[in-house]
Amino acid sequence: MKIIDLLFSEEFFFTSIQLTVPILFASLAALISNKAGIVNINIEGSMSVSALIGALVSFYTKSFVLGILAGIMAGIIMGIILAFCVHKLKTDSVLTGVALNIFASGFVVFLLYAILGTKGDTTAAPSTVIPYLKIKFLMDIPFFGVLFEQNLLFYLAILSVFLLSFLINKTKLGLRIKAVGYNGDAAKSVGISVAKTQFIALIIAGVFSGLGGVFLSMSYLSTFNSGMVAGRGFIGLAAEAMGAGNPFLTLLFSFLFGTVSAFAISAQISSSIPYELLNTLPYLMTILALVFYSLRKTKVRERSRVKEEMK
Amino acid sequence: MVRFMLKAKSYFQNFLKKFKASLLTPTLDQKIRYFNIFKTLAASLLAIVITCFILIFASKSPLAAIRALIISPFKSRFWVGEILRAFVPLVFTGVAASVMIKCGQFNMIGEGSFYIGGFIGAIVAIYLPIKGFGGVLIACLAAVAVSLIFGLVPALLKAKLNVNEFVVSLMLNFIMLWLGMYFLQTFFRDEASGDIATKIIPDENRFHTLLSGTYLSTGLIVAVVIAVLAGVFLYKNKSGFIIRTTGENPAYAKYAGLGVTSAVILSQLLGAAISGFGGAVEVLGGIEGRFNWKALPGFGFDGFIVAILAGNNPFLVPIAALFLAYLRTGAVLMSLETDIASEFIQIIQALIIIIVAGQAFLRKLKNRILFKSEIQSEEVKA
Repeated sequence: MKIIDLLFSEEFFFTSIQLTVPILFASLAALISNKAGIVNINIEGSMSVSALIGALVSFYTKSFVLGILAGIMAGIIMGIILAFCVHKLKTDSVLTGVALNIFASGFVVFLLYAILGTKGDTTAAPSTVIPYLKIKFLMDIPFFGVLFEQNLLFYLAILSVFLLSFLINKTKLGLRIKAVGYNGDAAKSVGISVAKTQFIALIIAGVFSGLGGVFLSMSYLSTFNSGMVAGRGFIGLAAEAMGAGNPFLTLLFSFLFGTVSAFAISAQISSSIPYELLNTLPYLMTILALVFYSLRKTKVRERSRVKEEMK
Repeated sequence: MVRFMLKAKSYFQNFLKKFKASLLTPTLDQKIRYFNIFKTLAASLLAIVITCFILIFASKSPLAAIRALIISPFKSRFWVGEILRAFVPLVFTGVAASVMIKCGQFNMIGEGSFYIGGFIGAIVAIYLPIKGFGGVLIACLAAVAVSLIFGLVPALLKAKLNVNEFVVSLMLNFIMLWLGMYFLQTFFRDEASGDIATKIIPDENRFHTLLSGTYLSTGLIVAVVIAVLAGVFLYKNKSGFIIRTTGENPAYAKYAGLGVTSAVILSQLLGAAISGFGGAVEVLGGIEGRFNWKALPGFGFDGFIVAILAGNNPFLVPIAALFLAYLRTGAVLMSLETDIASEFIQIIQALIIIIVAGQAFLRKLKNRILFKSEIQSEEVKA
């Protein structure tokens, strides 16, 4: 009974939203990269670097705005490095992503050690936390009022979903990105620069990864630690795959993964299930979701084949 | 025995003759192979040079840091032993990654199965009544068996449902970590250790020390044997051939009626098993004498780098692993002697992968080689 109570409590809804935000940012980054035809597995590493840079800058400047901007810059730089490797050095994007993730996990510890002299976290230099924005009256709505007393970045994340949808569907740039992702050679033949378009897409992806990272170290927690991204970048990839390129569906699936993560955390307090087993839930859920997604896709394909045969 | 030696001798002479011929009048294939080896060497060198440049800015005493990184690993017998000790796990995960990449599978399970293999190996070695060689063997087999069970998940999902093995294996790594942590905490924790760790593994069930004055264990020999066996499997065996063909050209392999599905499954299972084996060897030959990993050890990703450096050829994996182990030991020494964290090595590793994988690097040279041999073959025809 206790667990049911938990699931419908405002606190649980609040935690779910909190854990949705980084996954959502990651999945939006995955979405725009995928649209441009690049498999971007570098999001995980970008988030980690941005989280650290954001935390450090916000500590030293005592300004959360500068922290966020620095985090975004870090994300953009990681995106540019990926784009540079893919286009100028002609590396495989997956391989580069793996390399950049390795780079990120070493770089954050290296930087942490060089600046603070510790290897684990920034407890010695707590971040300037991003404030919460409470909207009067709306936040008094029972249960759903939780949506209106969130961190600044939550609103930005929701706004990003709309902006991204607009960008992809209604603008020239979005059309170009889709064209490049759909068929690079065809896009080239009508005078669209593949390299330039993919550069732009990866920079946008970098902004999102930066925001996701900054959220983790400046809002969800007020310190950075080297394992804090914990696969959220990859879970974002899965959420994007499930959302099939639609920003709103991607939001929905990010929320699903966020809820499962929230359950893993909340149930540690209110149930006797060992926390190690609860910690496996988000990852287990991601695998299951990918399986369902693939099953559905094959079913749809078969159905369309049957239809064509009927004709 | 004599006959075997004669056979080996003639095989070796044959190999030498072929090798000489390939150096004097190489075919195009051989030229490209030599080019690739040269390119990897050049890339590694370039990465080290770039690293030295970064160190000049990053360290207060750059010369000392560079010296510690490059020269210090050879300063004593102990540190050479440390290089070889770092070499062992890299060979296992490097071979595992090679077998999977050769089949075109980007499976990261090496990370998790190394962890779980280490855990299972330790538990079996501690609680098994059999001691000595048999005990070690059973512990390693148990580690391999459990790794195989986990390995089935991404392998079957990829082969049967075409689910991306990359994301699945990454997620599975975390699941393996937390499952291992759960069993360690709940059932196998030794309170007396003052740490989250198992009991001490009995001495008879551990790998012996190979070199006195170092921590190097006989696991080294096992690692090299595994690399050779995997190489023989990939290059001298029918299943190995199918795996390679599937990796090079899946459409062709399918058209030719080769068992693509089973090759995909087999290569991923082999990868999981080999890195699980490596985990057991690492713990049973380790310094602590017990299992106390509280995070994924990172060797799975390192194996990926080793594989890329070795061109996914298990025979070359030991060389690549030795190079990386040397850099890694240098990084440890650098962190001991100067103000640079040992994790700096990961920056070098990332650089190496990107340069080695970069098609654009040394492309002009490659084109010249291709162009020249084109002209030569034209002349021969004329």
